[in-house]
Amino acid sequence: MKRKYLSWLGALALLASSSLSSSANATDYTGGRLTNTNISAAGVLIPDGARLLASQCFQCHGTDGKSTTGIDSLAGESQNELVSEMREMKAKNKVDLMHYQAKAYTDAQIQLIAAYFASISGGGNNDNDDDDDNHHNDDNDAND
Amino acid sequence: MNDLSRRQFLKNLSLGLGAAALPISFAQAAVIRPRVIVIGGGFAGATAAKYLRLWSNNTVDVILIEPNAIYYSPILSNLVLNGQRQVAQLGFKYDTLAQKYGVQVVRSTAIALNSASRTVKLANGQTLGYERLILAPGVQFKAIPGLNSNKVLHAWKSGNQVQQLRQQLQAMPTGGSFVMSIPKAPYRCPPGPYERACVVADYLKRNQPGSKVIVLDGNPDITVEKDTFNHAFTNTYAGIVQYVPNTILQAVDSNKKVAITSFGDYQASVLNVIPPHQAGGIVRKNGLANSSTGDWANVNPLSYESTAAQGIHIIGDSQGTGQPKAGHIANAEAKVCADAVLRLLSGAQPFQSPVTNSACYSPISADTASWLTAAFAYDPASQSMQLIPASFGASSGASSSNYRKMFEWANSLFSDTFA
Ligand SMILES: Cc1cc2nc3c(=O)[nH]c(=O)nc-3n(C[C@H](O)[C@H](O)[C@H](O)COP(=O)(O)OP(=O)(O)OC[C@H]3O[C@@H](n4cnc5c(N)ncnc54)[C@H](O)[C@@H]3O)c2cc1C
Repeated sequence: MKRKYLSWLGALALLASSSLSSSANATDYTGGRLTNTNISAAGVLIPDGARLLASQCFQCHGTDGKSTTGIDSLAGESQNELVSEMREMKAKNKVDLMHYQAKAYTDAQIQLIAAYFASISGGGNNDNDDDDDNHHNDDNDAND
Repeated sequence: MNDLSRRQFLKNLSLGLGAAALPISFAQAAVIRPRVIVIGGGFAGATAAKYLRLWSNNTVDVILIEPNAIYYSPILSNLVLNGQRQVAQLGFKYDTLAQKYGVQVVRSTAIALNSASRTVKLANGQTLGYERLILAPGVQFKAIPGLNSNKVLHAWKSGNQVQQLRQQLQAMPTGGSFVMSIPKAPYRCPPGPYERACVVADYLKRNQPGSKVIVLDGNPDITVEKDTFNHAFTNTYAGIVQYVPNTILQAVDSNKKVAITSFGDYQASVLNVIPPHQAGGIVRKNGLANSSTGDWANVNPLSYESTAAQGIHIIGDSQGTGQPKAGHIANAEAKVCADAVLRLLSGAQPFQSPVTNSACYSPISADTASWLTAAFAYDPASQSMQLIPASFGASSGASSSNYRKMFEWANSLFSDTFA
């Protein structure tokens, strides 16, 4: 009985082409994000939690950092570039929406977020030259 | 296989129980996938449905229950009042969620839940089973004696109500008064009511000189962006806006358009009452509104799972984490929830340090706007989402560049949610 049950389960696992084990962790429904060693096509390591943290940028910068508006895309930017932009905004006291947002993240979190965007290829309107003043600059000028 | 045996099968599978007890074929086993039902297709629910599909590589079935074919965004809806936007421009269909992401959209209302059998009953007679349920029904308004919201509009859920309020405003006699009532916090969109006072004043200033806006605020002071709104009320709209704090609305004469308050009666030409809020009916009727006031749903902010019922998650305006009731952060919560639900379905734990963020742009006139932003992080000690003080900021007043950015921001948010 026991053996029969195990082989049944084995067949199921093959059918579902998943790593069904006897533990509770039967199938990974997170698109592979639970494995913690996700290497993207760009060869970048995407640690656990990076996608969720980065997704907080999608509201403005587009799903997966591919902007559909005049706001910059982040997809495909280099990790170093993104990290230094965020750090710069974190350090500066500027009345600017993104400068406030940058202060929400630890340096470690910024690394994760940047790794995620670096791992995605081809942003929509990614034509800026990574100058953080490009679209975040003119909030504190006008004040009626 | 019916919904119940389907669910039992998945449960046994994840527990590693013997298949001998399950009289089903291999063929069925191969196609069975966990199912998540999302109730409500607003900023919270639509985002959750989209990301559950996207992030599971379509390995999870998602059903979105929503009675309306078109969702009208409350965001930007105040601009209908001063003629800068048409209601039709604020409408979103669920076609992209269905076609691009494979969300199964069912046009109906959820009328009953059974957390023991994990089923949802719909107004169309269907009963559907789920592994995880996400409730995103937005808010419901509380009753006020004498208030008939078909006559005295709230215009706080966009769509037709906003169109009608625009018409009432256009039909207002010159020299008349627009009286609006703001409920005690928490209500959806903290700057929203003050933003409304500004755009209505903008319309009246340009079209009906001599008319007034009387703001009856149930709160002791302007709740957010005080400098910006105070400047607008006392400078930009000096002599038009009259701001009256600490004014609790007690009753309404909906026919005569009288607001009966703790400070006496206010006769209006157009009366706009935003009633106090509470969680959506489906949350409250199922014992899930377990906050201290009984208005909101307490949840674990790592997963948005109810503290009152297993397997049921509550996101958006109905949840009671203390994060603002707003669409941008509803989208943020939905992503935290979707990620957690996929991990939980896989037998793993939710990500332990989520961050969420909020942004509100407020039109102050027909060509200026202000903004407010904040981010929240999970605090393990209090097991709650806490405001990150350094991330909390507002524009210094209103500007035309902010007005342009408002549309970029809103269009980005709309497409991250619905497209
Ligand atoms: C004038 C105004 C300006 C605003 N500006 C901003 C802003 O600048 N930034 C910002 O972030 N937010 C803003 N908001 C707030 C924002 O619109 C809300 O917080 C947001 O809509 C909440 O999203 P939700 O998904 O929780 O609820 P909703 O958007 O209300 O969606 C709930 C959905 O659930 C459906 N539903 C309810 N019950 C059931 C049921 N039983 N079965 C099936 N479906 C059901 C409803 O039909 C509805 O479609 C503004 C709001 C207003 C009124």
